Amino acid sequence: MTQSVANGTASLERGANPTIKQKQQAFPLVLLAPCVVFLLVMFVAPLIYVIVLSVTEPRISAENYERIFASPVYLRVLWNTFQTALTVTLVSLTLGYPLAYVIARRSDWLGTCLLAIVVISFWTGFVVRTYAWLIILGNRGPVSNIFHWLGWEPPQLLFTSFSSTVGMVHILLPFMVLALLSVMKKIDALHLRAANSLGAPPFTAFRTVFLPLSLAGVVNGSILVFTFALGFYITPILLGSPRDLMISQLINQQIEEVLNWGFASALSIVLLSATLVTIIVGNKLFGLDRLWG
Amino acid sequence: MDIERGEFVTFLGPSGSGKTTTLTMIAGFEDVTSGQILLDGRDLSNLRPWKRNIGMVFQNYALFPHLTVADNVAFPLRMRGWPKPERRQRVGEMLDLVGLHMFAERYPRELSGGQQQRVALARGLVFSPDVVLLDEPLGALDKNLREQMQIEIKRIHREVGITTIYVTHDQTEAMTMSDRIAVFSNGRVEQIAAPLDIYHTPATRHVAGFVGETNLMLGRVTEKEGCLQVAELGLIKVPPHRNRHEAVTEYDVIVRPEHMKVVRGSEACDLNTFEMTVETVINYGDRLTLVGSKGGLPIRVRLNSLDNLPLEGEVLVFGWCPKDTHLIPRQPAGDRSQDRSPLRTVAGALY
Amino acid sequence: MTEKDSVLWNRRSVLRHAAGVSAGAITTALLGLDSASAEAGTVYVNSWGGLWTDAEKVSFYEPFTKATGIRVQPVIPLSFAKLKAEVQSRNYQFDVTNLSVSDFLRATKEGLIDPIDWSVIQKDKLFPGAVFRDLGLLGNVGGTALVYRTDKYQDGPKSWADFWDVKKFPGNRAMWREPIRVVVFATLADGVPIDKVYPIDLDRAFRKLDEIKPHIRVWYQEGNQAMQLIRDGEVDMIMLWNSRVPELIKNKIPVDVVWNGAYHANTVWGVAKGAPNAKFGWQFAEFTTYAPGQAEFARLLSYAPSNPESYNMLEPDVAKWLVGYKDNGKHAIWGNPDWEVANIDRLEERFNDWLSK
Repeated sequence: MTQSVANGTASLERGANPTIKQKQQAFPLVLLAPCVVFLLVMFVAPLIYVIVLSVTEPRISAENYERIFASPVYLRVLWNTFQTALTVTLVSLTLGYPLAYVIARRSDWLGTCLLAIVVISFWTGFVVRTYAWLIILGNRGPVSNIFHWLGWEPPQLLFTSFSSTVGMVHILLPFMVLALLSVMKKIDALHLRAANSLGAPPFTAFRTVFLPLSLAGVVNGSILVFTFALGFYITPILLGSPRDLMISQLINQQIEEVLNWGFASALSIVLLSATLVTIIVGNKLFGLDRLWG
Repeated sequence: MDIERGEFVTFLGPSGSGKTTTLTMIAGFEDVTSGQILLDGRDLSNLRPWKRNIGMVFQNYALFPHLTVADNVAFPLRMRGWPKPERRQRVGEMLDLVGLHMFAERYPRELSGGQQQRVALARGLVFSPDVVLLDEPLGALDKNLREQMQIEIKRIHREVGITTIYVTHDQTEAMTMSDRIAVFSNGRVEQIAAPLDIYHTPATRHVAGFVGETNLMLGRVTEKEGCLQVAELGLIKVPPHRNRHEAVTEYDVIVRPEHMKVVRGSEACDLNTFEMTVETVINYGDRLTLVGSKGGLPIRVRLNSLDNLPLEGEVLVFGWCPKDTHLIPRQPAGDRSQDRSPLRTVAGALY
Repeated sequence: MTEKDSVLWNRRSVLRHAAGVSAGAITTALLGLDSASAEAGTVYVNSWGGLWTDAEKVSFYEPFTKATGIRVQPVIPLSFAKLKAEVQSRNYQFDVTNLSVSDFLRATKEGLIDPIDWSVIQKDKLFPGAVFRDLGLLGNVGGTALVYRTDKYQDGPKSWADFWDVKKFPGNRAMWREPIRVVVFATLADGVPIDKVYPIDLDRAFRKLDEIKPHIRVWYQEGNQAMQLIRDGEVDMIMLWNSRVPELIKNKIPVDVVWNGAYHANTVWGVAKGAPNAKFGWQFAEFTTYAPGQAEFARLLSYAPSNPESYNMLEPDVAKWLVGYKDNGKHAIWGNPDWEVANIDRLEERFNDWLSK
């Protein structure tokens, strides 16, 4: 880590005036030091610890990993976790994009109100929001009542993948909206005017100018929501069906109930690796890194 | 206001004078509240911006950051459904014209301000619009680059020959580039004329004050023919005024500083003369400006000769030739015929 | 988080309602407790937080401080994992913990708990059977029972077999996502007598579970969720902690408890290995076994005392919801910590697999 930072600084300095070179080289390193220390202590050290635990608890062996791949349940739950996270991400994007678009483009009461609603839902605890759905979708809740009022048998809404997805989207949507908003706000309205004046009708201007310029927000928001969703388990437990088991719940069980930290670590490492692979593949397919530039 | 085909017209005025608003209306981004905008005799009011075939170049260029230079320039052609090969050829021609052929595959953020401006210009011209609108296009550039770009824009205009409307608050820019200048003030067009006419025969006090330096006095009609009474200077001789109205009793008297001179000896018979203490001497190197005041009226005198350099505090006799006096009749109270809204003024044809 | 209430329910009473020592005797003993030898200090107690900690404050912390001068500081929330972390890192947040008997046994096997310090504990002040294998002292008892809505079933279910009988008792059901109790109930439902349940035949239990799986509307994980399910009539029958039933009754929810086949387990108080305030910790643990405190705790949270003497201090209204009252515990099944500790990991895996299929 330190190595790569030092290299990065050195390469920037190449060609600089040799007399001031040394001073310049030392200075950014000093500035970086607290940040590097923080990263090491808060992220790198725990990660290494988890990796070590996964192959040393209860004894030095790969048995924890063997167990993951030997039993069908872990890979199935992992697969389900990724499917759920992907669904939640796509739904959040579909709902969040127009919402963020309106907030970004309208500075009047509508945009302000929508932004306020998004931010306020941030302040409400997610357990509270999850319980709200239990009531709304419950068999004595408003949705059910509407069906009864129309004389129809209400469908099974609660404790399905549907309700679980609704609950997770509700919690993660603000993250998507704010990630999109931070990029959309920076898109100069003049660009759209320019596109109009150059012959692009509004929707074409949106498609050829606004959409590509907002892609960085789409990628940031999606990765944010996707990774958050991977770690969810309370909401799927409360709202979903038993099939909506998430890998983090199994990890939590291993830590809190079974005290098998080695196996929990191995599960975490598999989850982390799968997440990284997903992002790398996504990057290869869609060239995500270019959008960050 | 009529603009001829191929003409280079500048909207000049201080910020808030309505020049950009007018431009935005022509582009179609703002509704016309009254009056009409005609293009080749066709009313533009109900035409959406993307149907108008008007090129626009924005002050901060508004280049699309996600597209290369070539793709930026190709954008209007893509919108018009040009086939790819033609598109590429046309873009190549345009980039040649603005001298950016080497930069076709760069992204806007990799270019300097001047280069970005040229890309914006190429993009606004590439589809041969009927009119191209430039909204303070050089505002963000430093002085040297600005002068270079003025020449560049003028050259491109000459080569392409597209009707151009150029908005600026910089009078030098307006003077050097335009075929005609429309001076805006408080939402009105005060005068539209060739640069030199604007300078020498400004239609209003505002125009006189905004274009170039001015000595402005108030002259009252007296019984003596060919003379006006100026409170601070006394009786002055004025040239015979062409359209003298009986009703007009007061004139704005305008004398450009370069028409003032120091009067030494007795050559002064035909001049309007006065005695004034020099308060400040501003030396520009190639010329001098003397600043003083007479009876509370500030007076500026420009001297192109640096011989006999006057000193601050020196008392001198100044004078000017009556033929260099420009008179603008003051409107009698109640007559506001000059209060023409620019919207109505623009209601001509942009040929 | 209430999700972790689960642990509270892994208990087992070593003693079964020995009656005897009079309330007066214990009270006298308490009042005489070493107020003279009081030494200023603090003991840190791991606790669930919320209502649980509030009840502990009134029942144990405050009287203990009054009697000994030792302050009690709760550390929230109760976490089995935290115990492991603090012992491994030798960086202690709390001295005393109160785990379900199975977790407690597991903790001792992992070397996280120090054996009882008999130099501190006054043996004669403990009720008979208060000691768990020389490692800790019994806390309260939590039970999990079949609870049903009386407005749905006039002639309600009487056993887990009835819970499985969807023809005779149609309606929505919910179960707690807790594998041990679930397989215990499945085994009971399959007709195995209470004393033959352990060791559990898992193949048989899961075959029985396959029968009921399509009829379980919710596999809940969280105490409040369970309460909401039965309160709002989302389900008609539920596997529920019977300590939550008085709260439902108080809110006029028409429910009743099937005591037959209810599962019970004790909590155990113990001191973390190497804890800095171990002596205070044992003093505190001993104090929690006294009848008045346990009775007060039962009054506040409806968790049954392990000290049988406490029942003599409780009003029938409170006592009737507790396992030690009259015949409530007659057909109860008590958790078997040895089997549970030996099988939890594999059972959890198999259960997750079964549930997520």
